Amino acid sequence: MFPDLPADQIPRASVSAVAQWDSLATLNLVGVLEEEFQIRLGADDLPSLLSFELIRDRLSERVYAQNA
Amino acid sequence: MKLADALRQANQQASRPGNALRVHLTCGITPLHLQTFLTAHLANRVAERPVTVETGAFGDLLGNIERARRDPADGIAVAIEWSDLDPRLGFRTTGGWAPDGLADIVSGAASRLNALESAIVAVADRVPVSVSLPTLPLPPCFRPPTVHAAPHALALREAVWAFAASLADHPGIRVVDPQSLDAESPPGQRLDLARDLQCGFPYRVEHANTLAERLTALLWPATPKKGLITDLDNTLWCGIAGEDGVDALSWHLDRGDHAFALYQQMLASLADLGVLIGVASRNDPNVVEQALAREDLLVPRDTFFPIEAGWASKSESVARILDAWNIGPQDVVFVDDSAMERAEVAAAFPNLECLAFPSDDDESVLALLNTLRDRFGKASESTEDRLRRTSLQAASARSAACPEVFLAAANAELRMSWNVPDARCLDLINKTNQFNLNGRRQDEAEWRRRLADPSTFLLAVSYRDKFGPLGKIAVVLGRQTETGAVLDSWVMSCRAFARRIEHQTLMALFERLEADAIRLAFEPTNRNGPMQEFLTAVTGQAPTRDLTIPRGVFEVRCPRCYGKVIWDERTERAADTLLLDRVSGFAG
Repeated sequence: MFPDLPADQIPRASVSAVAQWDSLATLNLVGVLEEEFQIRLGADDLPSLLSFELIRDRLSERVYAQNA
Repeated sequence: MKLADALRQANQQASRPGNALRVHLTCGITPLHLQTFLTAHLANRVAERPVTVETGAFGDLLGNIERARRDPADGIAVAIEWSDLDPRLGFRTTGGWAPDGLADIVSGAASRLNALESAIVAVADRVPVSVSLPTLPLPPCFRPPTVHAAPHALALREAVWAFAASLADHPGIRVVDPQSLDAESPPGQRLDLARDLQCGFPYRVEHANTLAERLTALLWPATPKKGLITDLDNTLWCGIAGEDGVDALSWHLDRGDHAFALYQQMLASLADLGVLIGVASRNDPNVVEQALAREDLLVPRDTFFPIEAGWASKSESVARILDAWNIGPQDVVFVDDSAMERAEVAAAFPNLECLAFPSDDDESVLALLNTLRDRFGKASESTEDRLRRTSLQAASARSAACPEVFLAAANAELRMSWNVPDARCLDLINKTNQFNLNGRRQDEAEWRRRLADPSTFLLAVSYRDKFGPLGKIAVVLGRQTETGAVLDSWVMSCRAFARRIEHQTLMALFERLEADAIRLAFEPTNRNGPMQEFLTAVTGQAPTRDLTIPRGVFEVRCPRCYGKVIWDERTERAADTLLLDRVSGFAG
């Protein structure tokens, strides 16, 4: 997604910290996450896609709910 | 291809050196993942250059095509959706689905299709264009229940089909086949309504990938294979000729082995397109001759050349067939029902594609037939393709007489045309490997740019002798510079070897250009040995890059040539007429 982002900075990545993280990147991120985790992300998920930490938490909830 | 892989590929290819291949993606939707997948698939096809896919304004397909026409690139992909024909046929507008408005939607869509056709044809005169027809479902805006085909919906589809048929007649336009797309991307699994409403991108990721793959394949088609080598027992027919007897061999509906008849039918069709069909069979040659003489065979006996029947290994038979055809294994497909035989051939020829004939599975036979059509299919056939087999058979039948005696008695005739391009010229440049000046290929856009350059000259050579015509077999593309003539491409079909056509071609160039020397953009490749041998013979030394051949040296070293040279009458016409031919000739 962000080829210039060093691996050690990924945990701290966010919309405000990564210059390339614009609306297009967010839509690409949605596509990749849906494909990778076999889930659907709706409009109510979008506020959770603003940082690596928020995404990780949201995905944990969704995947846990899916497997429950 | 997964989206993550496409994004990675799109990012990585951007750092490739060289001039970028520029392609316009024209659509009315948000391009999003379609752009990403198109970039990635194009990057896979054109491995040596970076790729740039440029897009236009949302909701303005016609305007985007017009803008692409004013900014010529290397290709244009046009992705049409119903909403481009009338916004009411999409889901993002609420213009009303009142029954009274349906006739207006249909007539407006027809007008829009006319405008799109004019715009696409105008742009296709300059660069190759691939077009996809509406792929998404129509909205439930018609009067009857959705299970009931509504007259207005049928009228819309009829207009789109007529539009597609008209476009497909244009040599520069390739339309994505809906049946092929349906097979790979089921129509009911294409629309992502949530994403459409959210950002204007209506495709599910998988559909975007499939569509981009097809748009790419039509813009940069793979080079068709040239030859097919088939097994006989339990492949061309059901049964084993040597054990069951010739009369027991079957390919008939009432015996349950009709799939073999379909395969025979495919071979006959491919042969008509100029594909070479050879036989490699571990069998008694006499039995094979008897079997191939059966009158109910759906593929004529003389379709097969050569026929290698005997008890040698299949790879030995394949080697002899490749030698007779004078083509490389990468241009050939081998079909056999035996996994062991396929493995043996594959081990000997790793670049030769080996396909299974699934003799006990009709569905898989259909898949094989589709694969064969994909490997050998071409949008148009040339006279040269159809002549290939007969000329090879004639060559094989020639006596091993002294070359001078043979050439003197051949009654050869070389027809030269000057600046009269056609699709066969480009085809030869992109398919020929052995007698090839430098191995460089050209895409259609580059080819058209060269033809439009006033300094360019193009010599094409057709050949015939008492054994029959070979058609157009040699092409030279060059340019006049301040320091003299330079040949950038020179290719000759391997079928034309050993007739001194190359010598007469070079002599014709010296005469036509009134040159004392000609520079050749020669580069050695792994496969252009015949070109290297020729240059060594006519210059007396191993060729170097960008060598120059003085006319005096060539004339001293050139052997006697017997062919009668005839210049095409179109060559003598006025220069301005020829310029027009450069465009119309390519289209023809």
